[in-house]
Amino acid sequence: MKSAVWQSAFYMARVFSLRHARRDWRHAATVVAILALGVAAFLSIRLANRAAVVSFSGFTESVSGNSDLTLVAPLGNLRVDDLRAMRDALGSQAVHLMPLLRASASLTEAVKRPDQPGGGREFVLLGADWIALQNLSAVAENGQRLIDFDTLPDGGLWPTLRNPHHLMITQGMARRYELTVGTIFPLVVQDRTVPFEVVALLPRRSGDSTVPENLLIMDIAALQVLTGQPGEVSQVDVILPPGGDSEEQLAAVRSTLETAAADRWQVRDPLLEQGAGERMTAAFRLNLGVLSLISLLVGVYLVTQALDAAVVRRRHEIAVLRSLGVSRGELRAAWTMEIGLLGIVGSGLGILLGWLLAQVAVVGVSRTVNALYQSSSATAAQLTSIDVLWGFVLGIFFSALAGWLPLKDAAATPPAQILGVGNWTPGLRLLRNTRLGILLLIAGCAIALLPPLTLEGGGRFPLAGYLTAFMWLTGGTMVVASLFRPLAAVGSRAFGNWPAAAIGISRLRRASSRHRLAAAGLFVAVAMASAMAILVGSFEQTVVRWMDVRFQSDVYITSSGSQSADTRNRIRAETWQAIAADPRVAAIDPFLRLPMDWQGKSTFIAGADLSALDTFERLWLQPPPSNINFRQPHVDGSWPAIANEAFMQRYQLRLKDVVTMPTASGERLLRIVGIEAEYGNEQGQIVVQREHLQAWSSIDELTNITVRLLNSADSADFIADWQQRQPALGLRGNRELRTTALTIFRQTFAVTHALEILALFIALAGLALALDNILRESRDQLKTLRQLGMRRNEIATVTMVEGLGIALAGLLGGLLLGWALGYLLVFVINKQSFGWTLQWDIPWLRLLTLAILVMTLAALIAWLTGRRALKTQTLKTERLKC
Amino acid sequence: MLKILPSTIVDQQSSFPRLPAHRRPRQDCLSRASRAGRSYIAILLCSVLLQVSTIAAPVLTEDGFRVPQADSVLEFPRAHGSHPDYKIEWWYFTGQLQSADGRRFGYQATFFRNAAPLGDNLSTHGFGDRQLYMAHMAVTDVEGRRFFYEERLNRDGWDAYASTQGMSVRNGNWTLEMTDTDAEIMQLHFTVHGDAAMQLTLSPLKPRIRFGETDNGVSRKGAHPHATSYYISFTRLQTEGTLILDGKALAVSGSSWMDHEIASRQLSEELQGWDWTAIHLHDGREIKAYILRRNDGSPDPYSRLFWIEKDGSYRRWGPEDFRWQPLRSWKSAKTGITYPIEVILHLPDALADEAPRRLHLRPLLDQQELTGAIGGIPYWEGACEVLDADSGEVIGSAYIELAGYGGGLGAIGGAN
Repeated sequence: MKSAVWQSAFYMARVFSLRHARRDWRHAATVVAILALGVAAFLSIRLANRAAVVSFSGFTESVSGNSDLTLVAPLGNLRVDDLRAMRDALGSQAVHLMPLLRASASLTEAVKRPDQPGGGREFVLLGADWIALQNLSAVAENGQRLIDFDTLPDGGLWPTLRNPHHLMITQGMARRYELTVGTIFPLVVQDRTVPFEVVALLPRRSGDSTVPENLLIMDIAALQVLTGQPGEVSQVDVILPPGGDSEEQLAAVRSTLETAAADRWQVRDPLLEQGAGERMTAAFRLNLGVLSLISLLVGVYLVTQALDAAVVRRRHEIAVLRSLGVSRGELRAAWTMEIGLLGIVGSGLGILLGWLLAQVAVVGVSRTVNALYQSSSATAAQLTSIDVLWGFVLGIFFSALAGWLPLKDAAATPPAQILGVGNWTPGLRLLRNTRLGILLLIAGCAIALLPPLTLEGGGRFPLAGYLTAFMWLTGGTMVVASLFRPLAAVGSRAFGNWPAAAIGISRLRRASSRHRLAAAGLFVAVAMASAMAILVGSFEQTVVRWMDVRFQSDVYITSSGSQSADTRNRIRAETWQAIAADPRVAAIDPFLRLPMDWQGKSTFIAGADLSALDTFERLWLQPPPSNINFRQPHVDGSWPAIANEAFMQRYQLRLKDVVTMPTASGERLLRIVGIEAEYGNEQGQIVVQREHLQAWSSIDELTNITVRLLNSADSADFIADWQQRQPALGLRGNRELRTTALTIFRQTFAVTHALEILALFIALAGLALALDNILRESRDQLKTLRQLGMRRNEIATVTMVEGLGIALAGLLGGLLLGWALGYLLVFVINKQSFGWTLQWDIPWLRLLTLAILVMTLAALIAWLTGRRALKTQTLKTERLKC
Repeated sequence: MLKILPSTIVDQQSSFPRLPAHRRPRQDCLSRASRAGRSYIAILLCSVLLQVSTIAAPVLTEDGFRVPQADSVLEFPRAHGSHPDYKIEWWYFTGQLQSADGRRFGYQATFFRNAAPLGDNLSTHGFGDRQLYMAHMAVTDVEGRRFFYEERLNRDGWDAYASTQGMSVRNGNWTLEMTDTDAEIMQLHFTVHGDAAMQLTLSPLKPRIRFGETDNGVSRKGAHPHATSYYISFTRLQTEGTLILDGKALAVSGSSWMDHEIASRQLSEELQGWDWTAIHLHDGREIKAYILRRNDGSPDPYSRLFWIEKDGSYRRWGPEDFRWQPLRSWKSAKTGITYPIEVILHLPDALADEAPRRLHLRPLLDQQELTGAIGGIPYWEGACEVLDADSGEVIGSAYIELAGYGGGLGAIGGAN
C-alpha cells in the first residue's frame, strides 16, 4: 500500500512538480538559491574556521614526529641544565628527547603578498636539532627524512649549521612567495631585519603530519645565536622508540619526569597540546558557527514563503487532483519528494558556494585568530566528505522544516471549496499562536540567567545565551504580526482618505498567514542585524574609550614582526634600553607579555612598570589602593598584581584573591589588587611589576614600549629617527596607533557584518515572495479593483502600502527584539565568551540607516511586485479567455 | 686560528729524534713504569714529554687534525677518553653472552666520534658544532633468530659527549663509563629501540694491548702517511649483566672484546672496505684479523693478523701469511647488498703447532646487517661460532665485520 502511494507520488512529482518548475523556473531557482545561500553561509564559516586554526603543536608535531609527551617551562624557556636533568632522571630508559626553540618571524614589506588569500604574515620560526632529527627519521615507519643532508648547498652539513642565516621553508611558502633554494630574503626577527638564505625545502608531509605552510625551520643552535638565547629551548618533545610495551613505558617515563620536574618543567600530553589551538578558539569559532546557523534560520522563513507560494499557485490544480481521487497521503508524498529534491539541489549548490566563500572567509577568520589568540597558519579551506554530508543534512533538514507548513497546507486542500469558492487557505496556524510566542519570550528571559558552558581548555560557550536568542527569535515571529492591527489603525487615521492606501491598510488589517510569514522573516533579519549593530557599536565605543585612556602617550613601539597575540618577536634589551636612554624621552612604560599555561588553561602573564601607575594610563574596573608598592611583596610573601576582567572570569577569581603561579624560578604567590579593563585577548592577563617577571622568566626583552616624550621633543622626528636606526621596529604615534587599532577591530568584525548583510538581503527577497503570494491569493480582488477602474500604478500602490505595513511591523518588532538581543549579546553572550564588560551603546545612526534601507527597499520591492503580479494576472486572465 | 687541545697523547716524534727500535717503549709510558716498579725516572720522563709536546708543533692532516705518530706516549686512564684533536675515534665492543637458561646472545656496541671541520663555531651552550657522535647498537638473539639494531646520530652537547678526562661516553641514553680506573672495569648500557636493553659490566681478563706496526704503537691502514691510528684493545673482557628482552630481565654472562681506535684518516682512498674479525678461542687465546680490500679486490699490504697469547703478548702477520676465504654469501633483502658472511680463515704457517690451520667462521644468524639508515654506510656485523675447519669442532666464538660491500669506503675518513 505504502509503495503504491509513493509510486503515484513519484508520478505526480514528475508530472506536476517538474512542469511547474519548468514553467516557473525563476521561482524554483529562488528557492534553490536561498537554500544554497543558507548552506553556503554555514559551510563557509565551518571550513574557514578549520583552515584558519593550525596551532603551534601542529608545527612541532610535523617536525619532531608524533611525540608522546611535551615538556615546557612553567614560564619562559627551559635551559640546557634542565635538559641534562631530564636525561639524568630518565637514566637508561629508551627515550628520545627533542628540544625545540620557538621564535617568530615576519615578512618585510619587500616580500609579503597581502593579495594572496591565506597568506599569514607571521611565521613560526622553529629551531630544531637538525642532526638529532635524523634519529626520528630512522624511527619513522616510512623512514622519510625531514632533512636530507645530501641536498644541502655546497659545503655540506657543517657550514650550513654554522650559519645563523640558513633556514628551511615549506614548499607552500616557496611557491607563494616565489622562493627557491639559494634565495636570500629578509625577515623581521625580534626587532631586526635579518637576511635568510633558503637551504632546503621541507617535504609536504612528515610522518603522519602535514607540514604547515607557516613554518620556517632553523637549526636550534643557529636560532639560539640569532635570537640571543644561548642554551634555551621552548619545549622538549619526548618520543618513545617503537617496540616493547609502549603504554607501560610511557607511564614509566611520565612518572619519572613528573617526579623529577620539581617546578623546573611541566609534563604535558601532546594529544591535548595538539588540540590546544582548537580548544583555545573553540568558543570563538562556535560563536561564528551559531551566527551562520542563524542566517540559515532566516533562510528557512524565506523557503517556507517560497514553498507556500508554490502551494498557493497550485491550489486549483491540487483541488482538481483531490477531486480525481488523489489521497492526502499521495499529495503529502509528492510534496515531500519535491521538497527533498529542492533540498538536495540547494544543498549541492550551497556546498560549492560555501567552499568558494570559505576561501575568502578564511582570511578574515585567520586574522581574528592571530589578533586574539595565537599565530596560526591559514591554509586553503579544504572540503571533506564530512563537510559535504553536513551540507546535505543541513540543506535537506532546513528545506523539510521550511516545507512542513506548506506541506500540511497542500495536503489539507478541500477540493469542493477550492473549485467552488475559488480560494481557501487554512493559514499557518503556528504563526498565529501569540500565546506560545509570549511564553517563549518569557522563558528565554529566564534561561538567559544560566551560566555558560566551560569547554575543554578554558573556553566558555554561552549556550544559554544562544538558546535565549533562539527562543526570542521564534517567539517573536509568533507575536510580531500582532503589530498589524495597531499599525493599520494608525495608518487609517493618517492615510484613510487616500483610496489606494485605504485598501492596502484594510488588507493589512485582515492579514493572512502570508503577511505574518513575511513579517516574521523580516523581523528575524532586522533583529539580527540591529542586535549585531548594537554589539559592534558597543564594542567599538568601549574600545575607543579604552584607547582614549590607554593611548595618551606619544609613541608606541613594538617589533614590526609582532603580528599575533602570542608572538615571540620582542624588543631586545639593548634596543629598549637605548630608547629609554634617548634624551628626548621623559619616561617609558616597558611591557613584557608571556604566554603561559595555568590550571590547564592558556593565559598570559605580563610585566609592566606598575609602580608608575599614576604616570601611565589604565582603565580600571577596580583600581588598586593608591598606596600600594608593587615592588615589594605583601607580608604573606605575595606579590601585588593586577588582572584583567577576562582573567578574573576565566579563573573565577575575586579581588584580593591570592594565586600561586609557577615560574622558572619556583612558585610565586600573586595577590590581585586591581582589575583593569583590557581588550587585548580573551584568554586573560595578570600583570606584575616588570622587573619581577623578567627575573622570574630570565627574559630581558619587551613586548612593547610606551614612550612619553619631553615637551620639547617632536614625536614625528623621534619616530623617523628611530625608524631609520632600527627599521624593524614598529613605531607609531598616538593617532596612527588608534587608527590601526580601530582598523584591526573592524577587520575582526568583517565576517559578522557579511553575515548580517546576507541575512537582510535574504529577508527582503522573502518580502517580495510573500507579497507575490499574497497577490496571487487576492487575484479575484485585484480583478475587481481593475474592473472598478483602478490603474496598474494605483494597484501597485495598494501593494506597496501593504508591503510597507509588513516591513514596518517586521522593522519595529525586529528593532525591539534587536535591542533585547543586543543587550543579551553585550551583557550575557559576549561577557560569558570573552569576559569583557562592554559599554552599552546604541548606534542610532546605523539603526536609522538600517530602518530607512529596509523601508525604502520594501516599498520599492512591494511596488514592483504589485505591478508585475498585476501584469501576470491580467495576461493569464486574457489567455484563459482565448 | 687552529687551536691545539691539551692531549693525553704525547707525540715523541714531534719533540725528540726517533729512538732506535730496541730503545723504544713497547707499551705506553705509565704501564711500563708500573711494570718497572713505578720507576720515578719513567714518570719524570713522561711529564717532561707531556710539557714539551704542548709547545712543539705536531704533525697535522691537511684539514688541521693531528696524525697518530709512532712511539707516542698514551697517558692512561685519561687516554681511554676522547681525543678531539684527532678527527676520528671510536669505542667498540662485541661479545657473546649466555643466559642462565642457556640462551645465547650476541651484542655490538660502538660509539663513534667524528670531528667537524675546524673553523668558526657558533659556540652555543649545549648544542655544539665541533663533534658528531654516531653510535650503533645491536643484539642478536641466537635461539630466537632475531636481530635488533639501532643507529643514532647526535652533535656534541647536552645529550652526547665523550670526556677527555677518561672513559665517559654518552649518546642519548646509551652510556659507557670506566667505573674503576685501576682495574679498568667498564659499565656499558644501551637499548635497542623499545625491543632490548643491555646493562653490562666488563672486566679485563688480560692487560690492555696497544696494537701497532712493529713495536711503534701505531697501526697503519694504508700507504698514505696519515692513514695511521692508535689502536687500543681489551681482547678478553669478563662480561656480566642484564639483558631485558620481551619485557623479561635475563642475567647474562660471557666474554667481550673492546677496541678504542683514534685516527685522523682511517683508510687510503684506494681501499674499498674491510673484512674484520675478533676471535675468542676457548683455550684463552685471541685472534684479530682484517683484510683491507683494495678496489681491484686484492688485499692491501697493510692487512694484518694478530695472535694474542694468554698473557696478552701478541704476534702479527701480513697478508702474505694468512688468507680470508669466503665460503657462503647472504643477500640483504633491505639493502640488496651481498655479504660473504661465512669464511675460512687460513692461519699463518708459523702457528701450525699452536692452532688449527684453518678456522671456519660460521654466523649464528644470517641477518645481522646494520643498514646505515642514518650514517649511510650499511655493513654486516655478526656473531659467529669458530670451528676447526678440519675436525668440525667448535673451538671458539667470534664477531665478523664486513664493510664496504655497498660502495667504496676509502674516501670516508679521508680528508674532507
